[in-house]
Amino acid sequence: MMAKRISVDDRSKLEDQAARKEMKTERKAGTGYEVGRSGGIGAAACSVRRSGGCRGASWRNRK
Amino acid sequence: MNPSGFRGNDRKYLRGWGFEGNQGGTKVNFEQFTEEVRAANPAAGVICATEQPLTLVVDGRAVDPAPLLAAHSPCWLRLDKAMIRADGSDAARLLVDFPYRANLEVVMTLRHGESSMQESLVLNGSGQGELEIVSSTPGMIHIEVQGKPVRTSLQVEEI
Repeated sequence: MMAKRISVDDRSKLEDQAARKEMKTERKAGTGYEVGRSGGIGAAACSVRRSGGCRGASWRNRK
Repeated sequence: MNPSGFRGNDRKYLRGWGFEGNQGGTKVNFEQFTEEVRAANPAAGVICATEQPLTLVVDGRAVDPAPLLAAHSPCWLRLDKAMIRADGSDAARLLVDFPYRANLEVVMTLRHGESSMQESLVLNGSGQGELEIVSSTPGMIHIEVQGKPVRTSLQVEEI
């Protein structure tokens, strides 16, 4: 029996995942400054994270 | 004795009431059947049912399950695994076994978080059909056969 394959996703999470992915891409391609959707996290925060300081917190603070 | 004081599967007690159910070779999805009994008796307080033999006591009163059994068209949803990874490729196989809908279409509702979708599946001559379910988002997928109190769920684990 050939089974049909379907993808069942939580759209809101999927959109969130896509937004995160997009931000990562922007950061890689750009100047190193994060372009947050709600105004962005500035250079200082970015450099702090780059030093490994508060990676988790900056992710959580992001809208 | 207070009948409502008895728990679900006290067959000895139910036999004591001289009430003997018989499935008569008919396949019964017991969980589905009890939900159908509940739907048919919305005002009932305590419903006791035994699976083998099939018996029914509603608020201490023995009820003939035959009419409900005649209307009962059992359906089963079976998953080959309880959990998949949210990588978009790890799949669980869902087997739909609904003999009364052989060669016909069955519609299922799949809910995942805030999203829900409906999927139709044409069953084969034995009333069986299969779906492969994948997901890219962690959480719980709830699967339900439309119009039937038959459901199952699949956990999606974060990768």
